[in-house]
This record gives sequence, structure tokens and C-alpha cells, in this order.
Amino acid sequence: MKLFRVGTVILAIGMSLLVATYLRVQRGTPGSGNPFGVFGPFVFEPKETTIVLREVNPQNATLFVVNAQSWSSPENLTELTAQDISKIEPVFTATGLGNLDAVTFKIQWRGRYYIVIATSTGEPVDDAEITFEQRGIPEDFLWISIILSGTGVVIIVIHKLKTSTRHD
Amino acid sequence: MRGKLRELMAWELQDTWAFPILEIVIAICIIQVMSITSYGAGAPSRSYFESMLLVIVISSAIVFAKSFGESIEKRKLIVLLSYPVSRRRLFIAKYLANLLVVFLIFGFVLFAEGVAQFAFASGSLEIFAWTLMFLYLFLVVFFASSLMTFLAIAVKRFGLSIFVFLIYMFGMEYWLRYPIIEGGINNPLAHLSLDLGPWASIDYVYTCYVNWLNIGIHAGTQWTQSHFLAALGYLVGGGLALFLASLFLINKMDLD
Repeated sequence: MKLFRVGTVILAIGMSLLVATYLRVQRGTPGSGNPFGVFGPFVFEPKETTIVLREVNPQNATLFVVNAQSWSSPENLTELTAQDISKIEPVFTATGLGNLDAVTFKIQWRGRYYIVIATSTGEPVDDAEITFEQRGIPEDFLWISIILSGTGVVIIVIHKLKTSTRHD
Repeated sequence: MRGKLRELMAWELQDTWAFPILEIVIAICIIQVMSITSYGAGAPSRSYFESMLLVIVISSAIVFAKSFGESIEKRKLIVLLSYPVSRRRLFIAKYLANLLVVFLIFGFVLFAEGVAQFAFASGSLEIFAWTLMFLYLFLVVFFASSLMTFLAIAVKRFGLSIFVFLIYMFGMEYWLRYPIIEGGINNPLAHLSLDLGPWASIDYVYTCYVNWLNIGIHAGTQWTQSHFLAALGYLVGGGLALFLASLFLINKMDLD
């Protein structure tokens, strides 16, 4: 009976996480930015992310998405230098971008990320404005819920098999 | 003596939290929290109390009404008291078992939120603020449990006690929402809300702590000592008074 209860509780956790994951699909995460070319850090979930470059000056810019644990922007953004930008280890890069260009990519791991816009030569831009949105299933939650639900089902089945063997 | 109390608590857990009550409460908690939390703020926020209040109130209502109201209504309590066990001990075992399980469930959700913040967000946690969150979560659960226990024993009915409890809890939340009472959220009365009160108190204590130790940068708080005392007094004083009143009622109650 105890084993059965453990199984049902784990199954309940897994299934409710699955429902929560589905509810998160509906939720876009809109964002915008400031004029220095460094935005964030924002919390990104492992799902499809679309960034729209509403305005950038000069054109032909490069966009970096960088994990906040590997890079942090200077506190005063007016002091952002090419040296700061050269230290970036991006998880995603898009080049040759101009006004109203949009890029879509998938973040691999949940975490806090900066979005950095720089010139093609790695200098800070004069002016930039973005919006972004995240859509789709957060994969980490999906996998955790599947694993938990599966574990719950396995435990319940083991319990059923044990009790039926005992009855035989 | 302690063994008997533990035995009574184990019996209570099996009876009140039988399948599927525990599973339903856990599922509602997870759906409520996981579907909205962004896991990005680094520090705990009001959203936890905002999102969990409904679940805490409903869970406490069902569990304590089942434990006390239903057991009086269906005369289970008389059967239990036919064993050599005092009313006081039976009451404490029932109350303590349910209080601890409700707190553990909601505490686990808060803990999961903290772990997620640590892992996915800044990699650091404001430990003191999170400790306060757990403390205030306990106080909210304690207050809701004591009020529901009192109502269940006073009314002696499962359904009616839940009805009265929900009207009081949600009525208070509605009445205390800031456009309704004079002075808005600056009125200490507004801090009797189980949504605003704990959050504002945490913010107040945390700001005092940061300023006192002169560590880090904190934006400051708009809350004053009277807001903090109103919230704390309501939760601790109210909870304790209702607990003692319930104990008194069950000792004096005519069960036949």
C-alpha cells in the first residue's frame, strides 16, 4: 500500500507538472530594451525565442546572446567598450542585421541571458532597440514531467504485480 | 506518552490524507506555482503568496473540516474517544499532523522555487529573505489552520464550516484590497490581508536587516513598523487565540 501511495504521489507530481508545462506554452515573454546595445539579463526558458531588432544604428550589426554567468555587462552602460564585447562567449550569434530584422533560435538551457548588439567590427552600437518573445514548450519541464510520470506508473505497476502474485 | 501521540498522528494522516486528497493538493500546488513563476527574480516575491493563497485556503478548509467537522458530524470522534485517550491529546495529534503536512507541502513548493532560482537565475540566494518566506508561510498556514479548526469545532458540520471559512477568508481579502479601505495599502488594516501582510512584513524586516548590517544595496521599503506589527500580530495572535479557543471548545463540547 505504501509503495502504491508513493507511486500515485509521484504520478500526480509528474502529471501536474505536465499541465503546468502546457500552461507555460501559452505564455509569451515580451521584452524590450535600452539604447546602449546591451539588454537584460532576461530569464530564458529552453524554447523558441524570437528577437526583433526594431532599430539599430549603424546597420549591419551583430547580435549576441550570452549567458549571464559567463559575462556581465559594465554597471554603467555608457562605459561599454569593444574589449567588453570581445570577452563575450555567445550561445547564439547572428550577423549582418539591420532595422526590423528578426532572428529565431532555440535556447538550450534555462538561465539568465544578455542580448548584446554590436557593430560588425565588435564596437558598441550608437543606438538599438529590440523586442523579444518566447513561445513553445519548455523542454526541461517537459522531460522532468515525463520522467516523473513514467516513474510513478512503473512503481504502481510493480505494486500491482506484487499484489497479484501474492494473491495467486 | 509521546508514542501514543505519534500513533494518533499516524492514524490521522492515514484517515485525512487518504487517496486522493494528498495527490489533489500536491497537483493543484504545482499547477498553480509552476505555470506562472518566471524563476528569474533571484529574491522571493509577492507572487508566491498571491498565487498560493487560494490553494492554502482551500487545502486548509478541506483538510481541517474533514479532520474535525466531519469526524464530529459522523460521530467518528466519539468512537475515537472511547479509547483511553484524552480529548486534549486527540485534538493536538489531529491538529499537529494536519498542520505539519499542509506546511510541508507548501514549504516543498517554496523550496522548489528557491532551488530553481538558485540553479537558473543568479546562482546565489538571499538566504535571510528566503528564511523569512518560510517563517511567514508557516504563520499563514498556522492562522488558516487554527481558524478552520475553530470553525469546524464550533459549527460541527463539514460543509457549513468550509462555507463560513471561505466567506471570511475571501471576504477579508476583498474588503482589504487597497481601493476599498481608507488610506489604501498604507492603512495598517490592509496588512491583515494574507496576501499583502506577509509580503510587506518580509520586505520590511529584510530592509531593516540590510540597513542594520549595512550590506548590499536595497531599494528601501514603503512599509512601517505599524504595518509589520499589524500583519505579525494578526497571524501570531489570531492564530494562537483561535488555537486555544478550539482547545477550550473541544474540552467543553457535548458530543452526545
